[in-house]
Amino acid sequence: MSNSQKIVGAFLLISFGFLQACNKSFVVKNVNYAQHIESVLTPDSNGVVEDVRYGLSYSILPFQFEEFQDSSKVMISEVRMMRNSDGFYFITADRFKNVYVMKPQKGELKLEKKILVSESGLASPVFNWRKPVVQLIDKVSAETYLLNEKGIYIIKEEQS
Amino acid sequence: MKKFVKNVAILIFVLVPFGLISAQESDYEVKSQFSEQYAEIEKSLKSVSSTIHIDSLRGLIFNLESDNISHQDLLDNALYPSSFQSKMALLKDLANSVEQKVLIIENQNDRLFKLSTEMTYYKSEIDLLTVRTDSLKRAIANSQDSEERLSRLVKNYRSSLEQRDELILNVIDSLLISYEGMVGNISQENLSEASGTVSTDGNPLAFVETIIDENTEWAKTNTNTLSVEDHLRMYAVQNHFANTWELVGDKMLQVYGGNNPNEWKAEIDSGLKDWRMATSQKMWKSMDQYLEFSSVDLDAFDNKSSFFNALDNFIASAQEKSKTGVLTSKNYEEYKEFEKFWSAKVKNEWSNLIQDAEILTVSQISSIDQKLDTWEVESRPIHPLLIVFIVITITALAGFIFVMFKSKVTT
Repeated sequence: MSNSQKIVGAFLLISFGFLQACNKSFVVKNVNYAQHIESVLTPDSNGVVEDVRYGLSYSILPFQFEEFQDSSKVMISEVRMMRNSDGFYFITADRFKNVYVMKPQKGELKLEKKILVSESGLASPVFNWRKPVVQLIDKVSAETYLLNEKGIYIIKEEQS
Repeated sequence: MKKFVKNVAILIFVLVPFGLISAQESDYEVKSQFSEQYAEIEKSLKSVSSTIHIDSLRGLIFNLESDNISHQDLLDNALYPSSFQSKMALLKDLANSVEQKVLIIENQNDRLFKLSTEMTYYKSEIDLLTVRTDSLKRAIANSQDSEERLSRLVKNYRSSLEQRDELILNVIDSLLISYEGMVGNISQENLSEASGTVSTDGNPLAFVETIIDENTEWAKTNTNTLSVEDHLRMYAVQNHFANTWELVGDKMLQVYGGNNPNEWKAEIDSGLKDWRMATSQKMWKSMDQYLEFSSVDLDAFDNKSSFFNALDNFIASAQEKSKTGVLTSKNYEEYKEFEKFWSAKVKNEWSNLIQDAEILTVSQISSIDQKLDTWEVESRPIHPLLIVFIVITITALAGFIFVMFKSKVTT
């Protein structure tokens, strides 16, 4: 290796180190986004739901289309939403077969996971926060699911 | 294997601490049920009307707290920025304050019932005495009988009138003062609330108005058979009534005035003014007649201040006469006449009535007393024996000087 090659190599190494130092952003770790109680939201005539307490609003129609292939009119009376500690939103509603795990992005919610929970559709779903997972209960079928952003952890059939 | 262990750990971690909450139970529903029950109790508390009802609501509050104490953490989160304990404390405070209001209202209604009974009694008593006094008045007017019988009728009439006035004073003391005590327990804040709740059966304002109207009529129509004392008493009754009304009127109007307290106020104030005018005219006229009859010639008077000024001027001018004029028994006779009126009547017979009617203040009476003492000294004529004694003394002294002088000359 010639001297000039060594100088270029050292220069590149210093530059890379310098760039690395410049790119290092300010980060706070171990943030807990978990909601302790689910949000029960009623869509307006345009299908928009607004969670006043947590400051979030979005249209439910894309979810409705995913479930029923119809977004011509609002067919959902109540939307159930829960956020887990990693910041993922769990969204479902009556007659939905799936729970949608959505990741918040800049100005959008991006699907992280579509969790199939009931082939016949949930009759009356509710969410509870049971750290570190989200509990989904179908009040009618009495089925309980423990969910995280990757899918179903446990399905438990209620005896009572 | 690792995944299985993790799942079991989550199961234990998740389900055991929340064992108290049924797996089928939604946290949101727990919060919603709590809020609904809370709102229901709160609403019931605001419309509660009896202490028995409050007791049952206290039971519901106790149940609400004990049923939800296990969900305290959940509710603290759900009710943020409030908390479970602070919400329960607010509800208990509300129950306490409502209970106090209800107790006052219940107490008021009890007392109002008693007072209404009392009012009915007084009303019938007053009516009875009015009928009796009316018949006596008619008997006096139509009497062709002997002087002795007429005198007896007048005596009965005056006695009946006196009883009636005493009854009116009793009404004032036992009814108006009681009402004052009753409404006086309520704070200004709760007064408007109480006004909607207190029963207005047998409205005391109507009774007050009736008393005023009847007495005004009495004062206007009574005959000349009444003495100064009778008129003074009627004036004192009116004065006492007006003072008491001034004290309790506003609160009574707020509680019993319904939708038109201003109308009630205007009517009662106007009635009191008429009553005052009628009793005042009669009383001052009778006082003037009495003084004229007693040969005490005061300046004209028709109210408290002109009466005091007339008394004051009378003494001042009499004193002036005593100072400048020759000492005669006439001036002293004038003093004695006035002193008789002042001591026997004003300060003795009429003393209580004069004070009740606030015709003369204590300082005015003592001022007249002082001036009267001075007038007495200045007007007292010299006793004839004193003049004889002085003449004898001067004669004796002159004789003694003369004898001394003569004996000096001879020696």
